[in-house]
Amino acid sequence: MPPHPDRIRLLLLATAALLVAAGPASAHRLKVFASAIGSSIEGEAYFVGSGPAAGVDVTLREKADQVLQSGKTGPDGKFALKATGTGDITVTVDAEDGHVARFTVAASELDSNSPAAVPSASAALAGDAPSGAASIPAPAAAPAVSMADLEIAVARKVAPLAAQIDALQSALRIQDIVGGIGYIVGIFGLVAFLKSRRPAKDRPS
Amino acid sequence: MAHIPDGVLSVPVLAGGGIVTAAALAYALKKLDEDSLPRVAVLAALFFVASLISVAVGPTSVHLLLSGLMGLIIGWAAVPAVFVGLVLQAVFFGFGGVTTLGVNTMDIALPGVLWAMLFAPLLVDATPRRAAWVGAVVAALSVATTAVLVALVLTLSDSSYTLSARIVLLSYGPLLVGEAIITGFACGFLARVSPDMLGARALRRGGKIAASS
Repeated sequence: MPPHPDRIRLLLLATAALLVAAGPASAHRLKVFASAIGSSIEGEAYFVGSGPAAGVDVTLREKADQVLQSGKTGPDGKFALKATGTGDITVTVDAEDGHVARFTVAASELDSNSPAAVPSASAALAGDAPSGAASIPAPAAAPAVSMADLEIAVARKVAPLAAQIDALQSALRIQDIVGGIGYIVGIFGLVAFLKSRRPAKDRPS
Repeated sequence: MAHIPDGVLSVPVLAGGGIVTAAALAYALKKLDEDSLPRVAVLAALFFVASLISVAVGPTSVHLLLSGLMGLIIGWAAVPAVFVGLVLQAVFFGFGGVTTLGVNTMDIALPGVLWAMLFAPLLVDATPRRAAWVGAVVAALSVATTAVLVALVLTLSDSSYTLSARIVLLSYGPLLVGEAIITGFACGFLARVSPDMLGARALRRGGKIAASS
C-alpha cells in the first residue's frame, strides 16, 4: 500500500472527527420557525436562500408520535395551528421530497399551560382599578386590557424579530461562501503537497 | 432533494451510504494524480458554490448539481470533490447533514461518475457539437439517477414515507433541463478550447495537461 492515500484518508477522518466533535448542525435547507402566540403556534417555513415553502405539510407533535395538529402552509409559507398540548411541541414541516425541518416550541411559551394564572392577574388589575378611579379617572381605561391580551400582543410583536434572528443564523453570507472556496483550495493544496512528496522520494531527480 | 438532512434516514441506510462513499472515496483518492488536482479543486469549488444557489420551483427549491460535468472532466475524482463540497456546506450553512454525508455524496457524485464513464468513448476526438450533446445527455441521466437514488434511500428508510412523485418530478424536471443545457454548453466549449479536459480516460492516454498547451 502506498503511504499517501492513507495519509489523506487519515486527514479526511480527522476532518470528520472534528465535525462530529463540533456537534451536529441544527440548520437545514428547508427551515421552519415557530412561536407560541396565545394558545396557537404560528410560524413560517422557508427555503434558505430562495424564499417561502408554500403548501407544505406542517405537523405539531408532542413527544415522539403524538400528533396534535396538522395542516399546510399558505402561499407565503406561513401557518397558524391551535396547540392543545402540555409539553414541548415539535413543529415538523415536510416538503415530501426529502426536505424536512423541525423546530421546538417550549411548553413554557404556550399560554394554554397556565389558564388559571392569567385570569387572576387580570382580575387583580381590575380589582385595583376602582379605588384609583375616583381620584384619577384617566388610567382607569388601562386595566381594561387583560394580561393575556397583553402577552399575545407582545408575542406578536416579538415573533418576527425572533424569526429574523433565526433566519440570519442560516443566511448565506458571502464571506462564508468565499471562505468555503478558500477551504477547498487549501484542502486540495494540502493533498497536492502530500502527493508530491512521494514521487520525490521514489525517484530523486 | 439531494441534500437530505439529519434525522430523516434510517441507520442501515445511513451506514450503507457511508460504506459506499467511503469505498468510492478510497478508490478515487488512490487514482487521483497530482496533475488533475487543480482541476478537481476548481470543480469542487464550482460545485460548492453552484449548489448553494437555489431557485424556488413550485413548492420546493432546486439548485445545480453539475455531477455530469464533474464526471466528464475529472472522473472518479468527482467523489472527493462532492464530498468536500458537502462537508463545507454542512458546516457553514447546515445544508444536508453530517450523518447523511455518505448518502448524499453517493446520490450526487456516483451517477455522474458512472454515466460519464459509460459515455466517455464517445468523447474521444469528438467535435464540439457532439461533445455538447454527450454532455447534455450525461447531465440529464445523472440528475435523473440522483432523483431515483434519493427516492430510493427515502423509501428504504421508511416505507410509509410519503414521497410525493409530483413534487419530485416538478423539482427535478426543470433541474434536468437546466443541467443538460449548462453541461452541454460547457462540454461544447471545452471540446473546442481544450479537448483534453473531457473524459478522464482520454486524459490518461493523452498524458499530462501541461503538454497540451
